This record gives sequence, structure tokens and C-alpha cells, in this order.
Amino acid sequence: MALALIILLALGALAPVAGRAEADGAEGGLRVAAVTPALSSGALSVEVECADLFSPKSLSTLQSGLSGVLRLELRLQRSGAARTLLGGGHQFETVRETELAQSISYDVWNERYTVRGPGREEVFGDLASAEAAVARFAVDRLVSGDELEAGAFYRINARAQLLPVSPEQGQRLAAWLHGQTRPDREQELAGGHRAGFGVGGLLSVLRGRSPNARDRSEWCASEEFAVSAEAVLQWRAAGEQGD
Amino acid sequence: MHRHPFRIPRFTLSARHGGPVSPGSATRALAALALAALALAALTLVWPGPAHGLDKPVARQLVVEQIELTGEPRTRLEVVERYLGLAAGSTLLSADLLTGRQRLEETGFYKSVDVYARPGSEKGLVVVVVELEEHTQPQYRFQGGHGRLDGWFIVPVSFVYDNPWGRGHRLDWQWYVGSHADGTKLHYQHPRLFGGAASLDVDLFSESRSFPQWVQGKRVRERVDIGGLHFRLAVQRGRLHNMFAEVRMQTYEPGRSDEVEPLLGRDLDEADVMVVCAGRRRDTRDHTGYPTRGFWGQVKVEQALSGSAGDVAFARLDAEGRWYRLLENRNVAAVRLHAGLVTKDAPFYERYYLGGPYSMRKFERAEATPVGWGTRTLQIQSELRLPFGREEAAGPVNTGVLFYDVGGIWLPGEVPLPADLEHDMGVGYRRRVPVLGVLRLDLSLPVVPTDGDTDWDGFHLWLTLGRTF
Repeated sequence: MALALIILLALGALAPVAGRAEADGAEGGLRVAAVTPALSSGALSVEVECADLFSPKSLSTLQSGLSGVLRLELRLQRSGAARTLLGGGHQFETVRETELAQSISYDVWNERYTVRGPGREEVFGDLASAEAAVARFAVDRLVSGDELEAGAFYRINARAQLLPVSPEQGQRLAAWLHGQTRPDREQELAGGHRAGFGVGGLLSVLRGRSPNARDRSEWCASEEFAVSAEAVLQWRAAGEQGD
Repeated sequence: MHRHPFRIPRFTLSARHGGPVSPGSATRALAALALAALALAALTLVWPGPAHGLDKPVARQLVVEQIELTGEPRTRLEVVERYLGLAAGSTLLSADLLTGRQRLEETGFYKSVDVYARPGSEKGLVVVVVELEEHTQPQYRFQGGHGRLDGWFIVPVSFVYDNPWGRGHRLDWQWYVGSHADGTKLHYQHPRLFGGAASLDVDLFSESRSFPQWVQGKRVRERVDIGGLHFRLAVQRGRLHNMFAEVRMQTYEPGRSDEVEPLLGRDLDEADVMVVCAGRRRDTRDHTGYPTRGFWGQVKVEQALSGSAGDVAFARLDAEGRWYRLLENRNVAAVRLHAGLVTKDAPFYERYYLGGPYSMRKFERAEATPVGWGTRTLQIQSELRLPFGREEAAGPVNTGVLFYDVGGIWLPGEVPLPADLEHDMGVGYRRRVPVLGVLRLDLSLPVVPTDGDTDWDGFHLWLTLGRTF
């Protein structure tokens, strides 16, 4: 019992460390090549360009007729601190998070690719055009301009992942799979439950690496930018008039 | 597995007859029909098809032509197909590759798993490629869990040598330490006896388990060394699906001390116990980690054999049910009912207890249990689970709980009465953390009984692992 408590406390001490660890991703060739923010028409918009979408295996899967979904995570981050004399040291905090997804599928019977995104569907006869279309995300209004703080520095972080299903379907599937009774690894005890994982799983947890990090890019940050006080005032006035 | 044969669309012709049909007119009609069919066939040969974009969507499905294993795995194809959920002839969706890969990874048989597709020999046919890297040596695994009888436990050292012959068998050894028991166990599983109709589990174990006795509010510690063999056969399909049978052959060596000798008498003698058991389990829960709807239940009968098989004879009937219902805002109402009856010849280590973090939470473990433990018990636990914050595949990260428990325990000859039942209520908090699973904090609060006197002993704080049920 005492030994069990010591081991338990040791593992408990490790758990917060595991929780703080950052996911390092970058398990496949997929990457975010460019994140380009722009301030126009009273809103912050962003364009994201992904590259090296398909590994040979994911391309083979696509060309078999199975669809792929490119999921994009966007984080608008703000730095409250003024820029230091050495030019670094910004502490950014995330102020807005959003997710987008675009799918690409290949019709093996008609030999054409279809790219679907929010409010659009395009058909292509060749892979290169379809890949270019699915790799580009354009968000017209990430946040309204009057939500930005004058003088603060901002940046946009983006990360992409290629999935065989949409993020919603993926979450449902993951929950469904997790919820399935697996008598071979998770035994139902009398009124209880048992689960286990190996060294690989333990290290993954301690390093904060998600087992779902396959075909996921690293985070890519845009250039830092700031908004002038005049612009913010102008947008706010325009917003009030609109109300 | 949604397998279907390659099917050719079938057309049926029907005709409405307005009057009598002569043999001649019937012949002419057949000839006209044949001509029309020929013309239609010719047209389909020369017509290039509908213009691009004008064709109506056709529900065509991809079909698995073949499952191809790479990486020279020792695992047999049928074992892979079973976990993958696909075989030649199955219809294929994108999600199938994801779920198949995850199920293969979760077997723990492999160092790495990848599942992808490549075009088959014809349009619409797909070859599913499964790339496997097998473990070649026993693997270390950390485990943890909890149970009503086991309390919470962790397995800091276990070695797993699963799938040694490529047939999906499991073999592992573990050393476990926990709140109620410490010991070692060698486990073997044959997952598909009789062509998959049943599974067989065999455990060879040796442990030391605590059975506290409460004498006038004071705990007397009693540990029992237990060793033995446990066989379990579970039916996986057919009319006996969910039935199980068990045989336990165990040797009990209770510890002797001046404190327990006068209390437990002959029960402290070393005893061989052989128990045969049959039961049925039903599980309709939507999720094992955090069920929101459904039912889990088990009924079993046991008979300990005397004579040359064992030193004690007793019979047991045990039933447990857990119900889950989803309320608004992801909240869940959960109720567990447990009723047990064992004959008076059962020694204390085969009887029931009341009190503790997996039982009545206002008591220490077994605090509400008579000396020598009870032969009849009834426990009803109810929880209102209120998740908040982030949701993960394994369930919500944070859950608040309101609980109310009722329970009673009786000795042989005692007549169970509602007045004998103990009540407790309280609040709790569960947090899902890495490595450990669910951390549980329960605070039992005093209950005001019907006579109006507050039970001030009702305060009790538990910090433990795992959900209650």
C-alpha cells in the first residue's frame, strides 16, 4: 500500500509536466508554407498556403477513390508586452482560435478531382490543380477590426493536418472507438475497469505528443503586425454607425 | 464487416393487359420488344454518354479487392482482417482505413501500423495495404485501474508478449500494487476458441489481500495470502452470447494474530477453495470510459465444491446493474444496483463488505460491515454527473458530481429491513489526467435522517482513482 502510494505520487508529479509539454508534430511532409494576414474593409483576413500535401501513401489512397480532408487550425495571438530593445521576448497569448476544413476526392470512374470547402465546390481534371486549390485557405473575416487592440502586436499561427475524414467525423469516430469495449486490452473488473499502455504510449503522454499527430504539420507563424489607434477608432465608429 | 457479393443490377418488366391476347399478337409484341432492346443496346454502344456535368450522381461504391500485408508480419491475415473490419468484397469508405488502423494499433501487437489504399485491378476496386512492424520481444507496459473488490491499483511492471504465434493470443505477466491487494499474475488469453465462438482466459496468480474487520469502531487489519488458478470461458456469439463460465481453484492463507483469532475462528485455517461459476453479462453502454446512456449488468451464480475438490462449500448469487441516462447539457444520471447473497458457510474472504470509496462513501473501507463480513448485501448508488470544460475522446476532462448512496449488509439469520439501510450523500469532482486516468475527489456530507438528528459522522473525504461505476 505504501509502495503503491509512492509510485502514485511519483506519477502524479509527472502528470502536470506532461500536461505542459508542447506537441511537436511534424510527423509527415505536410507543411504550412505561408500565413499572410491583411487588414481590409474593417476586418482581419488571412490567407494560408499549405505545401507537400500528399505523401506517396496518402496520394495512393486518394487515387484509389478515397477522400482526404485538409484541416487547418488558426490561432490569432496577441502580445501585451512592448517590444524589448533586443528585439525579442514577446509573450503571445491566443485570443481567437478557429478551424477550417477542405476536402479533396477523386472520382475513379470519371477521372476527375473535386475540392470542397466552405461555400465552394470545384472540379479539376488534374491532380496539380486540385492540390493547389485544396492547399489554399482564405478567411475573409478572422476577427472584426474593432476587436483588435491598438498598439498591440499580433500574429497568426497555423497548423494543417491531412485526415481521411472530416474533423467532426474524426472526433465522433475517436469517441466511438474509445468507447468500444475492448475485452482484450481493457478488462472489465468486478465493478471496475483496467487499462494500460506501453513505454511508447507513456513517452508520448509525457512528451505531450498526440497519437493523432500523423500527417500533421508544425505550427507556422505569420509576420507580427500591429494596428494603429486611428484605424481601430475608425472601425469602431463605422461599426457603431452600422448598428 | 459489410461484405457483399459483386451484384449485377436486375430489371423486371411488367405489362398491363387490357384484354385477351392472341398467340400471334403475343409473338409480335415479343418481336417488337426484342427489336427495341437491340436498338437500345446499339444506341448505348455508339452514344458517348451524357455531357460533362449533366450526368446524375450514381451511387457507386468502392469495394476491397484484396487485403495486402507488408512488413513480413507473423500475424495471420484472418487476424488482421478481424481487427481491420475489412476483407475482400467489403465496401470501403475513407473512415474504414482510420478505424481499422486505430483498432490494429490498440491491439498492442505491433511497433507500428499503417493502413492505406492503392487502386485495384479495375475501377472501383481497391487494394488495402496494411503495413505492420511486429514486436519481437516482450514489451514493458504500465497499467492501472480500479474495481469494487480490488480498490484502485497500479501495475508498475508488466511484460506483455502478445500474439506470439501470429494468431492473436495474449500472454503477459504483471506485478501490481494497490489499495486492497498486492501480487503477481501470469495471464494467457485465447481470443477465438471454437472458431471464434468463445474466448478463454487463464490466470495464475499469487497475492496478499486486505480484509479489514471493524470491532467497536476500531479497525483490525487482516491480510490473506491467496494463490491459485482462474479459468474463464466467455461466449462471444450465438444463442449463448454474453454467457460466461468460470472455475477458480484457490488456496487461502489468512494471517493469524491475537486480535483476529477470537473474531474469525476457523475461518483463519488454511483452505483450498474450488468454485465453479456461470453467469451472463449485458452491455449496451455507448462508451466504456464515460457512459452517457445504456446499461451494464451481470448476474452470476457460484458453487464452491467440497470433498476432494475443496475444504469449504458455499453457494452465491450475485447481481449488478448500472443504468446511464443522458440529460440536458451533457449531464448524465447514473445508478448502480448491487445485490448479493452467499450462504453462511462462506468464509469471511468470500463474503461482502459495506463502506469505502467504491461503496458507501461516508464510511472507511468495510467500516459498516459486521465482523466476519456479511452474507447478504444491497447497495444502490446514484450520481448526477455534470461535465464541464474540454471534452476528449475518452470523455470530459472535468466532471462535477452529486451523489446519494443507500446500502445495507446483513449476517446469516438477520432479516433485512429498510431501517437497516445506511444513507450517504455528497459532492465530488473528477479530473481526467495523463498517465493516471481519472482522479476522483468525493466529499461525503452528513445526512439528516427522518428522526431529524444530523449524522455528523457523515463527513468523509476520498481522494482516489477511477469512477465509482
